[in-house]
Amino acid sequence: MQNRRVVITGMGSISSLGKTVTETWQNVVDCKSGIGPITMTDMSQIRFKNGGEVKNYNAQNHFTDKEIDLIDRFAQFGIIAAREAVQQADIQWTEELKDRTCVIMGTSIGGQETTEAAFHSLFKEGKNRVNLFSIPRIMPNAAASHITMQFGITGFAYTISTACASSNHAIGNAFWMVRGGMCDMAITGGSETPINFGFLKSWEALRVVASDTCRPFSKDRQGMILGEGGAILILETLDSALQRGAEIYAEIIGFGMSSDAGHITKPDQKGPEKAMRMALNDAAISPDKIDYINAHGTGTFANDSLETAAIKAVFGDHEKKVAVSSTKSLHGHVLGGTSAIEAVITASALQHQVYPPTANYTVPDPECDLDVVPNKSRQGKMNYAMSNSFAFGGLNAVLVFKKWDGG
Amino acid sequence: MEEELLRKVVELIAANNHIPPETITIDSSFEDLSMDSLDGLTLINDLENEYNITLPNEEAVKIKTVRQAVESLNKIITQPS
Repeated sequence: MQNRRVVITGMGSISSLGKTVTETWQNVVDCKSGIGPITMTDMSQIRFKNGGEVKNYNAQNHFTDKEIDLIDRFAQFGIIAAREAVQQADIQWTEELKDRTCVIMGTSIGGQETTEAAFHSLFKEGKNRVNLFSIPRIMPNAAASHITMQFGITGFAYTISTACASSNHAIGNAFWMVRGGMCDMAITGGSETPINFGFLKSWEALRVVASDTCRPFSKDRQGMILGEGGAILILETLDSALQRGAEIYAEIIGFGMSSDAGHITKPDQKGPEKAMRMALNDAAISPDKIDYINAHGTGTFANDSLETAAIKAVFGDHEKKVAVSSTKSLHGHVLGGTSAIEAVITASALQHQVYPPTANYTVPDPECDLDVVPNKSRQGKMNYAMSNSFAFGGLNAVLVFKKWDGG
Repeated sequence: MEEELLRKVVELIAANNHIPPETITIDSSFEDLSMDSLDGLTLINDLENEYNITLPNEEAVKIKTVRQAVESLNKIITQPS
């Protein structure tokens, strides 16, 4: 089957940076981080205090009471982002299109808030029964399922769970499905809501969460900051987008994946290198074409130096010219949803020709001596961009995007 | 005090990593004992629970030997509150 070009015709995003793509992008341009003190749960027993919460979120502004009973916060964010993306794409639904649209979402843990509420009922309150809707709320496929119901999608739908790379795997899969003709349109992205007491305690035990903020690539970085949110891209063929006069925000041209086969938490260099090379190969472009990399850039000591080494190995001399920033410094690490938010930001960067910054950058680290766009966004020509995700368990997924220039 | 701490460190390492306690000495490194970074942090977390203390992350990640574990523990336990 002939490979079809795949473009982004709609985007949606909700995170600590804002409840819409416009708000999110403005905060990226202004280098205004959404990270701050966590307020949605009692943090007195947790050693770190900061996170990336969605500010002033009221589920009743988006859902009926009955829907809130049925839908966990993580799925709510997926649905909200999907609604924005579908509206932006101005899709004229037909029964045929609904049948030829797929929904592929990413999340690492699904309905964690509901899981903890159930455990609280059983183990702390000694109750003998949990909420009847616990299973449909907890199941990681809930966001994808609700999105199909929201829009009447009868094409295939599923959820990918690969820790921090979940959404890149989801979007990459969706890209291949549209390109290869398995479907004509995709609603794809991911969501995550890690800010729950038990889950925060689990991260505390690993000692990878910073006590201050997320400082990717800084010598004094202390670790990651957890965030919540969701984001969606609408993907369709170029022909379809042009035919219906849709606005095109960017194009996806490549996807690569690999496994480290190494350690369950420690990152590797070879695996990320391989995923980046595969993505470039899939995009049929050489490394020197890439102008910007949205790094995995968690702010942990291990990831940032290893990712730098991997980038240098893949890009050679071009590593001095390519700008590499981590927007986790702005929205936090949204785990299975993070690369969806980063995809929206990367596509927006190409659309607006602005390089997103790495916020909170203080002291240069000789082991991370890339152009990290420190503390201030930068206008500049950008034709091609890459977005990296390197997950716990050594699962790597990389996307390559191209600026839409009309042809 | 240090002897007691060493005994506890050895007990925890042996139990968590399924190795005979007599193979663990004050001079053992975690690497010698085939313990990776997660095994090291498991030990620190267990010691925190056992002695009701808190070891900051930046100190915890530096502990790579039995001696360092005992000395860090002793330092926190014996410091005036």
